[in-house]
Amino acid sequence: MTEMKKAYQIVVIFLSATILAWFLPWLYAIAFPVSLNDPFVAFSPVSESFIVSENDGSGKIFEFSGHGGRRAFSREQRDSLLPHIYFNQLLGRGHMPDSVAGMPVSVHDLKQAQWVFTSLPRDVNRVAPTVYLLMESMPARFELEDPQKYFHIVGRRVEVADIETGEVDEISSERFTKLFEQRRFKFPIAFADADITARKPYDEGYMLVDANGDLYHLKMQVGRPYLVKVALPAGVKARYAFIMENVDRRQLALFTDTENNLYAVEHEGYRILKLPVGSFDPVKERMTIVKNLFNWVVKISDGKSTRWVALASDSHALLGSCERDATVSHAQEVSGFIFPFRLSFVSVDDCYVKPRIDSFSWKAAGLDIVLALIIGLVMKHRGRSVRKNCLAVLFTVVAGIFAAIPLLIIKN
Amino acid sequence: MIKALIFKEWVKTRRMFVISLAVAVAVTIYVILMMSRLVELKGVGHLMMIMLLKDNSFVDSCRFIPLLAAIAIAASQMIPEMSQRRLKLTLHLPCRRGRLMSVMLLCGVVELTLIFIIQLAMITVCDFVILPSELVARVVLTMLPWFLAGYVAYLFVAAICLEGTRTMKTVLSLVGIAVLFLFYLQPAMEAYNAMILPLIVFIAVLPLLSVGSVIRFKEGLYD
Repeated sequence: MTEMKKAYQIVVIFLSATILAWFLPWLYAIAFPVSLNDPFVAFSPVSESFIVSENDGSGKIFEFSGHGGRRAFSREQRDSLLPHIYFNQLLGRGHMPDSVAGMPVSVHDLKQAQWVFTSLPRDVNRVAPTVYLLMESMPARFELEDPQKYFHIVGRRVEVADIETGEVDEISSERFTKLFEQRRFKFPIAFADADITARKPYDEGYMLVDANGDLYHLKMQVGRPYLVKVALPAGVKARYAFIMENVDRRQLALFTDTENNLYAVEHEGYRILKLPVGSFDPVKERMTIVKNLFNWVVKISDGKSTRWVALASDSHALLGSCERDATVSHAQEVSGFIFPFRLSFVSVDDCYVKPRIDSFSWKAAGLDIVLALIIGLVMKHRGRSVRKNCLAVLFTVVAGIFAAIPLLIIKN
Repeated sequence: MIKALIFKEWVKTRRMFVISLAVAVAVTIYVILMMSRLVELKGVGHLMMIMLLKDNSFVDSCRFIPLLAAIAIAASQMIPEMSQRRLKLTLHLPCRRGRLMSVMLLCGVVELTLIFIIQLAMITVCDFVILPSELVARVVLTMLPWFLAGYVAYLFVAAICLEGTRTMKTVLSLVGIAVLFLFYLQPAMEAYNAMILPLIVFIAVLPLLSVGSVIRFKEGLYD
């Protein structure tokens, strides 16, 4: 029974310390929230520089030219520098130009050329279902409808079934399986992306990545499969692919390779373009692309820093880039002196529950040692054996405040 | 002796077991009816689209049923033992303390397992009729942590009831609430897949808390 009691004590103290390592930093973060507002950054085709509008309540607007200088602007000046974004304000004031950067523009052209693409780590880091809904890309009545069929992989066979009845469509299954074999698709599907909704102008089906890292475009046209293996540059292995279905129909998809390079797949001839935005890891980084008639502004952030890259709209040539590191608040600095590490089970970047220990801080070592000394004295005062005392002190040196609290509270 | 002990546990918990089972079955029927209604009105396609695109398992109403059933059964089983310190009498039975505690806890665990199996079977059968097997597995894996939360709640409530001192009751209650919080952190489907096995190992360790509480009680550590 003595052994049982020892085990009980160890379990209770270890469990309490674990719970505190999870809850204390979480409560601290709630008590001292940190603002993570990135500024709104756009690339001006007029001044050919980034225009930064702060979102921190200061209302500051300035130019980032890459030469170190910062010119401040009023909101009205900013509107004139970014006519492709603030055309409503310019129209209202009667200041809308007929041409921008030598190109004649109309509000219709500006609106038609706009789209936004977002990729969040949360969209990639989740247990994806292995049932794939199939939309009809060429509907008889020219309007997209909700999917009537789905497919799933059974061994090396693509099984297409009716959603309502669950009955396998043998003819379609045969056609799909044959086409996957002909295109040398290596199962299982490593990654699949589609936008399953009837509320879009057209359907391009799925972008699939197979087990070999090859990229495929799959859709269903008049009930028949359409599968194309996209020819990748030599040595490139696809990792994640995202279907786009933009109004301008120029790009079919974006994809990243195993080296975290970003590529665009053009609709015409499945042409591949490597985008000069640097490394982008969809698992860890979020990306937003704001496209307009003149440029793409690609924003990539990982929580520690954010960078913006401007690309020419037609050639995708690099126009400029700027970067900003996330500021560390005083509350975060102080937490480094209190908590030796942080335990959490969820993250904003994924849909998994699993233990994660991060934010290790050597700055907390001072407090840990002081607490360990206190624990040593308290244990001695309670008449604990030298072995027990040493274990308690060692545990406090490692787990700091998380270990000290249960050791002080739990006496017997 | 063991048979008599099992009968004693059954007498204490049978009312709460029947109520918990009835509530679990009623909520499960409600969930099934809601799914059937959606299928009737909008079709299976709509149900599958919501399930796949909105990450909705349609069984969310069942989330807290295992937890509530576990708390009810544990309380009905252990509170009578501690009222007027009747546990002392139980501990004087001619049976080893470890065996005694194991039988007591096993009775509760078996009752809970029965409720969980009935609930899971009802939902699985209903889902199999309309959904492909991959999606049925997805629903089952989404529900599994809720059942594990039930076992954790049962073992913590048992340990708290059997604990004699107010300080340790408070510590165990706070730790128990925090641990249970873990099972309801993420609403995404199959979010707990990587945690299922560690959680089962963790649950296997938890009876130690009840045994520890009884040892402390036997040592005279109660208020």
